Amino acid sequence: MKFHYYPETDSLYIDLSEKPSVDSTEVAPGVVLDFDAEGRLVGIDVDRASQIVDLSRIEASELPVTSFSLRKVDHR
Amino acid sequence: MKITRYFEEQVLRKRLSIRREWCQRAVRHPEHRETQADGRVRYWIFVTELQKYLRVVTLEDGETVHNAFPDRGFRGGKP
Repeated sequence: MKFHYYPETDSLYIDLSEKPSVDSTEVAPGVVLDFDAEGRLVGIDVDRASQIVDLSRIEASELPVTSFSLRKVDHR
Repeated sequence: MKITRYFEEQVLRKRLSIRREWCQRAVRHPEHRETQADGRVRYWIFVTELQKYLRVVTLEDGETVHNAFPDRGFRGGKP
């Protein structure tokens, strides 16, 4: 699972799978779900993310995680 | 066509079926247009190749393409 956040537009994309999306639906204002060709959820697109999600913390419990990375990009 | 980094790096990466020229056409010749409460602008066109409506969202300037997806919930502007 990957989180991609863009502060300049306050946009968050959560990749649940590497598979591409072929269909999408908006389930709440600014929240769009992406589905693959088999109808499986592959990503979540969140607009104005800071108004919907607490971006300041990530918590996980009992996930079988083998790697974790945080990357800060300097756009200056 | 002006685009955001999010559109370039996430939208085009994840939604491989979307073509830039459709987004440009949606902004220039929309079938339906709405301004969101936050000032960003939504445009819809029907894309024959997809057999679906495409929603394109621009920033507040009405021209910088920020998001696009085949909108299965759109009913031609009718509720």
